[in-house]
Amino acid sequence: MAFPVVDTEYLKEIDKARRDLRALIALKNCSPIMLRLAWHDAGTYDVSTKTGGPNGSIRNEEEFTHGANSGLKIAIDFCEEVKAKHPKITYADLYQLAGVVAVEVTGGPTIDFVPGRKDSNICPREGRLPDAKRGAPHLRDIFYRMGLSDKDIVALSGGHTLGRAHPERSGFDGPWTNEPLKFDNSYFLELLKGESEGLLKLPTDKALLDDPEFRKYVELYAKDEDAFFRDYAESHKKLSELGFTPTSARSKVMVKDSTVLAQGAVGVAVAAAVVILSYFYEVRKRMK
Amino acid sequence: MAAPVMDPQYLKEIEKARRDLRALISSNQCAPIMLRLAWHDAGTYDAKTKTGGPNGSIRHGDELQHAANSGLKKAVDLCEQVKERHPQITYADLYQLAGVVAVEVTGGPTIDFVPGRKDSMASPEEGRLPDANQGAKHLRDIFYRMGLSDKDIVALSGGHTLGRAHPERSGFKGAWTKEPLKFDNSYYKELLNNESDPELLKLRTDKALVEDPKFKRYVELYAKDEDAFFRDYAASHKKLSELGFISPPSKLSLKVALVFVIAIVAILSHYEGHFSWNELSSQFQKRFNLTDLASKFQKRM
Repeated sequence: MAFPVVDTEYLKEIDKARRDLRALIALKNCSPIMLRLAWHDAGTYDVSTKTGGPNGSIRNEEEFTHGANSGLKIAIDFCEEVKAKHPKITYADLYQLAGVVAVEVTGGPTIDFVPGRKDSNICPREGRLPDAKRGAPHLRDIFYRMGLSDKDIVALSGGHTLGRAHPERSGFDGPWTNEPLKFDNSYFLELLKGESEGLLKLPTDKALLDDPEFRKYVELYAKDEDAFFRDYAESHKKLSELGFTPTSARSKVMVKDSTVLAQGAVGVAVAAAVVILSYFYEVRKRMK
Repeated sequence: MAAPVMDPQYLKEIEKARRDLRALISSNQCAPIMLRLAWHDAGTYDAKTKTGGPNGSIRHGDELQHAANSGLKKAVDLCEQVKERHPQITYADLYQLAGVVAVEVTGGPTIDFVPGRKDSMASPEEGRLPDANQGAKHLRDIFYRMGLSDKDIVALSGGHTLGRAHPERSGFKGAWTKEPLKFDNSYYKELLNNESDPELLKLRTDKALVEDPKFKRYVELYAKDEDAFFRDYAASHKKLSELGFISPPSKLSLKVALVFVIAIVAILSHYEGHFSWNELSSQFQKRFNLTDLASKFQKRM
């Protein structure tokens, strides 16, 4: 499949899809499963073979029937409603946009989204996503294979601030936090608190405490939500762009820079005007 | 009450409150009542007397009990959860921010939000908000009093794309559109549709928009062009949310203004008629070492 042409028309469709996703996700309260869909499409990436990654391949039956993807057909069907209204945008972009919107409407940080991913029907082998029953070495195997770091592992685990596990899906049961539809740093606070009635801690969650490198980040994010939001936004963006090189750097950072530059230019221009006017004043004074 | 200082700390709190509101409004599915709260706080504005407007006064007992505000205590209480976490921000800003977020999370346009409204304890008298049983003339009386236009009236009425009326509140019943939690232009399509589902609500004031020829032009535009509706809605909503509100200047614009004043004085000093202007300008020049600069300039030339 070819890369989509990211022209003004495509960007407009992305904005409309973004708004439709906001309405859909708020209405169905399905932000957790949408976030999981985005993560499971992207998390199959292998940086050494450049296979897998956020390419929409998860919509194929072969992949969504993987054990790790149990239950995700619900999210795929929700996204289909939006795709039907905006057929131009790729599934790869749509699923990642859904993940970004899911974090936004639940009160999480704004994650920069760059469109232009192409779709693929090549499904990776089962087994590339983390196994919840394992520990720190396994987490590192999985995430380093994607090209991500320790910081990414801990920050992204913070995504468990949303949602719950289901016995009929993963086999585990329950939410990680008391407000599973609110994106905040309570996942880390709960981790440090220890066992809590009714709240879930997977072996992979506990591994973040047992490993000293991971634990450093858990403690940071538990006491500083702003730091968590900042790192989470960065890691989520990285994950959503694995194997994808955005050609257009259509980032909000550029817009902010240009307004600061404009304001600076105005200040310089006015100061220069004052200096020039005084110069002429002096010249005239001397001439008289 | 004094205007909140436009410092970076306040702006940070606004951004955090915005995120809290997104989570609150999505999970409680209360976008319609939050939008109505923002509208009813702002819609009491009188452009002539400069009273009413978006100043948080709606939270006070007498105003909250006005018939037009029936049911809004629920929204006031929900907003209280956010205020507790961000006590610095004014109620006036909070309610307008809630309105903006309500439109955003239901798929509506992004509305520009400028913080800095002051809170007020003074509640306007009852009767400043529109009466749903009346017609076009009444709508114009009410909205022109606020300083708004025909276009604003029709665009803002599009807010009925969200929510429903309740018998125990307004006395009316039902939603205006098939998807009362989706912000789009279906309100206008239903208005123009003669075979609209009879279960859907059309107030007298809604019907007035198609009976009056000037209003009807906008209804037809928005029914066929959702982008135009979103664009005009965003502009009108912003206007409404800023009635009587002039945003406090930022530090940068104060600096720019000061430099302009100096420049004007420097220009005026060309006119050597009045002695005091000379005095003033030479004093300014001495202070800011402009004579030095100018002579340095000349030496270089």
